[in-house]
Amino acid sequence: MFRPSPSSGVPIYWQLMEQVRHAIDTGELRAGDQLPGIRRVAEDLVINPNTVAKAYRELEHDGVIELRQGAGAFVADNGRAGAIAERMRRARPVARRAVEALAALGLSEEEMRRLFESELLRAHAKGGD
Amino acid sequence: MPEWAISTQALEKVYGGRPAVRELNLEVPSGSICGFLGRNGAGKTTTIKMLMGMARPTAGAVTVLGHDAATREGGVGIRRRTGFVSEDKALIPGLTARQMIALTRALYPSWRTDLEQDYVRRFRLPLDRSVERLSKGMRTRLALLLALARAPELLLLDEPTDGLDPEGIEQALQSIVAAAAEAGTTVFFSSHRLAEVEQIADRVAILEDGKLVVNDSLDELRASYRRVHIVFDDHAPEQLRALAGADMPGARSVSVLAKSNVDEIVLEARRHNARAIDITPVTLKDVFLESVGR
Amino acid sequence: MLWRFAARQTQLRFWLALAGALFLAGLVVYKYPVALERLKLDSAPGGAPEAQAIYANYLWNRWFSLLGALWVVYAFIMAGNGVVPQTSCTLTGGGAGVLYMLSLPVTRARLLYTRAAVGAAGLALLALTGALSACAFSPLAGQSYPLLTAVAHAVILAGAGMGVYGAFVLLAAILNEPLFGIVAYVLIAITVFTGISRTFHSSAVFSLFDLLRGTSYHVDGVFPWTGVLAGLAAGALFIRVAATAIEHRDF
Repeated sequence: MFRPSPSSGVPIYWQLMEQVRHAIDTGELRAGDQLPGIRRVAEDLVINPNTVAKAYRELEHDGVIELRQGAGAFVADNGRAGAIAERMRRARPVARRAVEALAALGLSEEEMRRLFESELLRAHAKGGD
Repeated sequence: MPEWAISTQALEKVYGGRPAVRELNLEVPSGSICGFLGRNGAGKTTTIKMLMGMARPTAGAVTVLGHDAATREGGVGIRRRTGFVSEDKALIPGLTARQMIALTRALYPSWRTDLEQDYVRRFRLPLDRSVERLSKGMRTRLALLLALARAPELLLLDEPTDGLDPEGIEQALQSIVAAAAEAGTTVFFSSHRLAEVEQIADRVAILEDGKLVVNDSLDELRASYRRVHIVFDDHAPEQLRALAGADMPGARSVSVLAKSNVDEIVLEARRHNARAIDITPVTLKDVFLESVGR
Repeated sequence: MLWRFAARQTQLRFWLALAGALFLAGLVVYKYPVALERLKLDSAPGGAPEAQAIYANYLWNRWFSLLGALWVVYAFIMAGNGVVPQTSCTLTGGGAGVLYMLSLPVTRARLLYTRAAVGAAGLALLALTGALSACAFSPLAGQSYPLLTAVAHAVILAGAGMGVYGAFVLLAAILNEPLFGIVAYVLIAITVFTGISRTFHSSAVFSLFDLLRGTSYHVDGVFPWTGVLAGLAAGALFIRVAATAIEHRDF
């Protein structure tokens, strides 16, 4: 499930969070499913355990997962996972239209990706997150 | 456990009139994995030796695991609780790997035979070969085993993956991460491989000419730096060229490494009717090259 | 347990030195008949006591002198294997290992004392083995040599020699290579060669080498208590100073 790329410049904890969200979107993870433990993720991926812990904490804060004392991390059962999937479903046509519009302008896939990333980063920087 | 595993104040070391380390204020929180970067001769090895109580500071204070590393007793206390791999992976000539392990085991009450045997198997160490007949990769593995099997609270590793093949690097990093994940061991390791620092570290310290120029969490660094690439119709304005550090008059584009002044740069670029502005995340390599002044 | 590092590390050299001493002792005793012939005496003249005195003189002149020289060289090698391994003396090559020793959870002083003690023990054993093997081999040449006299020679050599060993340890602690090697070689040369020249010129100048090979004990039958005690005291003092010096050294 996790495929972080350390040299991409994007914080690894952020990549892990995105990958969990993505797995929920695609249905690979469902409400109540258990996530692998922090130690195991750290040792399997050879990444810092603190980074994995941080990703899990942030995901819990966002209501995506639940950390149960001594039992581990579970995909939240409170409907938020469903809400995210629903939000994604509604957003998909918007993204599709944007891509079509950009394609009509003659942009390649790679160019679109760069454009999106650049806009996201600018929004991120402005948001002062 | 103290909040800081390593803490130095205005630490200084002078060798024969030449300062090797100057005004070093280094703090490594307990439980973190800190990558220690710097060019060759920047003072990394000297710093690590001072942290181990193996080199006496010329001035300043150095506290490791609550011990004063500048005193004899403090040094002994640090060395009892710390796993160390030296830059030259020094072992005792004339001994076999098995003898190195047996003799070292006897000096550490915290030694864990299960870890020792686990690493002997995993590293596939030729136990009965004398250490000077081991390949550099095997010497490094043996040095790592000796450091890890004592179940240390702190690992001070001077280029622990130097001279290893890709498989060896992965094994070394795995063992370091396992120590951190299972026992909460604090790790402070120097390296020239930025990719491995990005992979396992959560903090980065960068030393340049004996001085610390960066000492921050890796996520902070990634969040605070951005690379802004700006293209103009005509040549790039002078202010932005100066920011980029590279002066190429007539060039149509500039690439600026921005630290918390992204908005300012973007505004400036817009004011000069920039044709395209690309903002991309930075890698540790960008930050490193910027910090050591290219 | 720290001593085991030093013992393991030096055991090859120790066994080589011991084997060398045994071999040379055997050789010296075996050559006795040839030496007698060269003196143009086909058999020991006079009675048995005189024959024994000639043999004792031969052993002292050949074997205990040689053992003394061998011992001084071995003291140099052992000292070079102290806290600061000096490559000029490590037969196994590579002066490495110092960083590993310093990274162990002990003070440098303890490191030096331990290694110095292991060296001293090896040296004492070498002196004893060398002296006793002369007794053991004597029957091969149809001779005998008193056990107590041999032990006395060993005590004189090891005791007085501790001063020389301590001096080497101190030099190794404060000098870098190749300076240590050069100074030590000069010291060996002075110690051994003043002794040899003394045999020919018999000057009245004090000779350390004469002390080591027990000249006064052999010639006058006087055990050199002063020399032995002074050697032990000087050795202890030098090693104590070396322990202080090593604390202030940068590696």
